[in-house]
Amino acid sequence: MKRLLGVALGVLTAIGGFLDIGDLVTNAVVGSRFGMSLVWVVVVGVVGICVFAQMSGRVAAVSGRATFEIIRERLGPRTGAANLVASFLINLLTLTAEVGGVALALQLASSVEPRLWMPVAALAVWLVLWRVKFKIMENVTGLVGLCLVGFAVALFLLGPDWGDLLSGALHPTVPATEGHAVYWYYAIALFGAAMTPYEVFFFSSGAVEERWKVKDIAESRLNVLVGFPLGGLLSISIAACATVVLLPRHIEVSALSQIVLPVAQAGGKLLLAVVIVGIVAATFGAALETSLSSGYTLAQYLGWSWGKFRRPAQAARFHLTMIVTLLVGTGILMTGVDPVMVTEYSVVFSAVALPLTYIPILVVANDPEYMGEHVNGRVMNALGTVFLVVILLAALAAIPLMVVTGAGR
Amino acid sequence: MTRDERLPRPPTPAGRVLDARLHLLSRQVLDADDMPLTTVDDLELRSTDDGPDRAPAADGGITGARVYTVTALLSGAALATRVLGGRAPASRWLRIDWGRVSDVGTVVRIAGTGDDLDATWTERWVRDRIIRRIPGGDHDPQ
Amino acid sequence: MTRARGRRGRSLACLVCVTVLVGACAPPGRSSPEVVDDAVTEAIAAAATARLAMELFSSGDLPRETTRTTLAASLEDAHQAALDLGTLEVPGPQDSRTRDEALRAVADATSAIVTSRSAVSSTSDRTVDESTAALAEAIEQLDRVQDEVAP
Repeated sequence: MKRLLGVALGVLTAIGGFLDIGDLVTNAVVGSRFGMSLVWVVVVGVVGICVFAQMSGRVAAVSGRATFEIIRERLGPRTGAANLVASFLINLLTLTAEVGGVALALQLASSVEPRLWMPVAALAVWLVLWRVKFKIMENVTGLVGLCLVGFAVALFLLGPDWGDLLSGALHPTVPATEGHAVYWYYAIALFGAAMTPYEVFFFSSGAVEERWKVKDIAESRLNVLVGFPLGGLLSISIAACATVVLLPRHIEVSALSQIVLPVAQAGGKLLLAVVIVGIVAATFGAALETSLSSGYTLAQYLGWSWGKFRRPAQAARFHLTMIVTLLVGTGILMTGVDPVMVTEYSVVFSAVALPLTYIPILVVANDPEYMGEHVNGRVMNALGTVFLVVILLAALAAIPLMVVTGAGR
Repeated sequence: MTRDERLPRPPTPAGRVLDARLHLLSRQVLDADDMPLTTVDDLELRSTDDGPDRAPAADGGITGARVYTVTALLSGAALATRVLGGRAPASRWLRIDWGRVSDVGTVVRIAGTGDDLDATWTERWVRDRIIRRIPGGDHDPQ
Repeated sequence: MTRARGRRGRSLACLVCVTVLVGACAPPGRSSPEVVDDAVTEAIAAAATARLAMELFSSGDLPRETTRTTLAASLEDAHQAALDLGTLEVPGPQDSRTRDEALRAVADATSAIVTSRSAVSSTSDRTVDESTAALAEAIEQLDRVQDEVAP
């Protein structure tokens, strides 16, 4: 019975922790401009993150080493350094977006200027990093993040034409009002939003934090294979809500407030309150994860002691890194930059940086020196290779498309 | 291949022969409590055929003909030079004397704790000057 | 010596290639009707958002704070649209007329959003309905301009 509860907790946390500000914004933008014609990208992205997370979790559980330690050892310091700089910067960008997301969600509830919330949010994030146990932190933000199920509830309450929605998803076409370049640009953005690199740093370092052994692989596989697709369904419901309510009114999403209007229309103030709580929890959780990832990447590359399982005095440089990245992220936000715009850039750059993390994991997952008998099977390698091609294509096309479309105009 | 073109036979000294790049460089250094200390960024070598305390030869001076022993692990300032090239002066290296090394495997282990090592001074500095000054810095999160 | 030169030659070739690629990917200059169309689209989105928010507010589905936040964001978007139109370099009198029409429609939408904001802050229901109607009118006007502009 206890085991069943543990498994249920793992799955629920995976669902609630799946969404972050990148998913929220990108899915809503896509739903309001392209309808259901990009839903297939979410499906591809979910399969991809399942493959990726599962591989990196297995690597961490079997080898006892986390991602960047392996990258440094396997690729050497030069390639590892390039990888580190790129991953660190994009992580910082994502962290900035997440903290901004927390502030925007709090503004929705209070109409207090977000710049007043940003330092508060950053301080709260740091306090949790400083004092709260890893498992508790994950479980609380994951479970409260489940409130985002409100989007799926809203979709049902809106009573849409399901046949229309389904056919729009199954027969994707570029709408007349948008060009092909913009369509593919947003496909890449959506892909980057689903397959966030920080997820992998966090997942594999978390496996070391929680001291996973080989026997934990099965449970993590279940969490991933059940939790992430359900999280993907939530992403799709966000897009569908935007399609049903915003697209017919020609409302192109550019602010967080527009994203929740369909929820208010469907379920009034109560459902809206639930969803706002969910947004705060999801973005807060993602801010925690990205801060930790910044600490993990730097500490693992440079060989410092790291981990939330150690007291801060025993992982001093690790904690200092997180403090500094939070300060820098908050500083960027206080210049008045629009957090939604930061989010839109962060997902595209995540897609660009994806090969840097993915390729080393794929290589190590096949290395018997690290993995022993738990190297990738044929199916996993086939899937892994397919996604390698997809990831490389997305990474190569992202910047040219960004330039050509003026970042999705 | 003619006799002249064949590679010279490697020397076979007593003791363990390691491949620097494969077994030592970029490896994590742990202390006896499994606490990560630093990475191995470079090695200090001494040729047993020369006198002691002779600085290692520049690139091209190390051939397979002589026996070289590792006298210390180097880290810190040496990282930048490994990535970008060049050689830092000896005083910039953080040394871990080879005598402290207790095991070489997937990680390099040091006997005792790392608190007295030069190589971990930045960790101690950040800990004492910054982290310990923030309330709760010594709190055990488990 | 030959080696160093070869390396420099390769670096130079790389630099030239990258510059050409970036230049080739640079977005083509956007024509006046395109800019007007984009600005009007943005203004329509802003006004429609405000209208939806007002409708939900008057039906009691959207709390006051969230409505105010939504309207503030709409106002920013409308201002941006006006700015894009105002800074546009028009090549001829026909484009100038189109731009002026669009500016007028966007200005009407902006003032409707501002009226809505004050309606939300006070408690008179009548003003809420009036501002919602003003928003609907502004959207129709913007739609008309967009039909004319369509590039």
